[in-house]
Amino acid sequence: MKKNFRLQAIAAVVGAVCVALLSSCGGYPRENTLKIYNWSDYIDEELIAEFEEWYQQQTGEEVHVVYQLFDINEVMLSKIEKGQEDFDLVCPSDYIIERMLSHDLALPIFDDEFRSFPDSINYIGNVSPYIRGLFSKLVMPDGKNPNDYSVGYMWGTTGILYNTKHVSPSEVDSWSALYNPKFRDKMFIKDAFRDVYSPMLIYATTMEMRKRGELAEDEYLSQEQIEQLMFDSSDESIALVEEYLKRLSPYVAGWEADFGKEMMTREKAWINLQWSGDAAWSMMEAEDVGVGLYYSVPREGSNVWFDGWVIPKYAKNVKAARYFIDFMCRPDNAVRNMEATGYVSVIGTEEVLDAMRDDELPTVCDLSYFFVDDEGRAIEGTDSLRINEIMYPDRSVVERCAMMHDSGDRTEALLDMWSRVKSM
Amino acid sequence: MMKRILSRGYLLLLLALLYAPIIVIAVFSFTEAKVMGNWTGFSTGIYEQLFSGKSVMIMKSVENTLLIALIAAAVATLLGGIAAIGIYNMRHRQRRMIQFVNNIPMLNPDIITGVSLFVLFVFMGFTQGYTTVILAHVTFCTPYVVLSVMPRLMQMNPNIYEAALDLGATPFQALRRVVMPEIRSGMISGFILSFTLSIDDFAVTYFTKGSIGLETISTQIYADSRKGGLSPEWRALSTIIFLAVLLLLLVINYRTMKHAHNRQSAIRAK
Repeated sequence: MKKNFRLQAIAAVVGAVCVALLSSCGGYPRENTLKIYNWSDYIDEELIAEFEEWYQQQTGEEVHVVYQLFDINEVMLSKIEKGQEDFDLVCPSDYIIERMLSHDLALPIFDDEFRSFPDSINYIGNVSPYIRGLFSKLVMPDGKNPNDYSVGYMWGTTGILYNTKHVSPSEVDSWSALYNPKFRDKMFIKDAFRDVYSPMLIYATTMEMRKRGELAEDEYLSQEQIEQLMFDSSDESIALVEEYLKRLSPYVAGWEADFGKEMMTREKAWINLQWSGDAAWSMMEAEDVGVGLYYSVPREGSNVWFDGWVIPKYAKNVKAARYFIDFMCRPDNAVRNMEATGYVSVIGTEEVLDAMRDDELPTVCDLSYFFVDDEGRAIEGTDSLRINEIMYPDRSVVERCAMMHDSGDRTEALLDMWSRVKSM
Repeated sequence: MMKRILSRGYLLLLLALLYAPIIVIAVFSFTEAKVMGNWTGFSTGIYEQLFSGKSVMIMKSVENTLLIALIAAAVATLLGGIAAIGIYNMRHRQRRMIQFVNNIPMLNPDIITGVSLFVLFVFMGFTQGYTTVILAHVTFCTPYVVLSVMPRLMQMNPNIYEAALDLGATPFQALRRVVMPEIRSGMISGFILSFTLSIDDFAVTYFTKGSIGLETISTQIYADSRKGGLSPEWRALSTIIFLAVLLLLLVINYRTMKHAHNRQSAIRAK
């Protein structure tokens, strides 16, 4: 009996060891694998296989791409920070990039040993100087350059998506549209505390300053003032925004995370606090069913957001990661990604301009800040360009938008405020 | 008369409620509107897109789901079948205890199973991927196979095995040629049940799939739905899966009916 049991125990242990060995054999050696961690539906999937071929052509080495999806920035960050997962490339949002940079979780894409790609394949220079300017405003310790540690991917603004039949453009020219009793219960607000806090702070500050006489009735905050507000998550500001949100709460039909677009195309809602990428998508979808939608960035100011590529600290294949970022910056790939996802790429070259301009549109925009040629000068004619102004906002719009910063240890106070507002 | 109308009507209402969601999805898979519920004209565009090679991730997740389900169901059936025979041959008290232990994974909520397996795999240093997912699926499928096979064993005449031995069969031969055919139908239904459970599973797969880009249909739907609405290809895929299962059931039913019909004619012919 005892001997039998011992044999059984040995057999069980041997079995477990076999399973352990079996599970770690994966097929491809780690040096030839590129592990990418990205949002779902955020790339033209055919490009992944094409990258493998391109990499082979450029370097003579084989690479196998493993493409893992994540749905929440914070989950992704904790997998890297606490789980120490060895992803080679990750695509976080602006404030998470900032957090990764300040927590020393990113490896340099460009450093003294690797300054840039050879000219023939250097596509990273295609990123618009406007975006590079936004990146340089990311807070980074030790005076390092954020543009050395991350490269942009997609960008956009935050604003109001509205139904053109029931809402006039002048009504959504200001954030006070949200308080218009005409839209009571026909309004959906994004269930994203950061994307609501920042615009609300800008609006609330503007209103309060007008009440105190520091701003005239038709005067607005300057871009520097807006940029300063983006750092502000002090107790007073949180309390101010909470007050404004509590006044807003009775008008809100729902706090949505993704069904706002559908509500708008089915005309169940008339206004929706929305991102520009989703707004452009909704507009096209709604057109197919005869509903007219449009998008406006209110005059008081709003957010500009972006997602960018970062090489996390525990990456094992930095070389392939660099090549992938470069590949994504090639203009034809940028256009394909835009078409597949519906968002707007950071690439501002002539090819992208030609692909996206539409001379039949009635609106004319100044995009000389975004599209530049090889020498860095604005391309001819971009100051009066006919292009989808939701995707490519006019200069006057981006001059009243600023990037949100990482709220760091104030995040908990913000979350508390948010749950108090939503529980009303 | 009235009672008949009411009972029929109630049945129809129930069937309608059960099938309405699937029918709605099937109908809207034939339009290209991205938002569910909008009809922009009849088109098979979504089906073309599904099979054109552009929906790389969706098709890969279907592949993974089927592969994992087949392997897990096969292993679970084997394991469960042999376990059932062993349990059958135990003394009463031992059998009751093992059956009790067998019930626990079935009653345990999926999430608990998923999280505890995740912790176990991390603790034992297994890299998470296909192997861990298949192991996890085998874990929750096997009890169901045992449960499917036991009744067949109970129904079996207990003396058949001894009779086979008396007639000169080795124990293995007796097992293979006498006991197995008796429990075959139990093992088949156990296999089908495991296959279904594995395809259906979300929570356990979600926690044991690791970070090698492995997605099954359920986890892929979860990832897709988080970033702004379900893409329309899923409507086409759901319709196809539904039709495949319907076809399978029709075939099985037809064969069972034909089998019963043959038996009846054979009896009458005597």
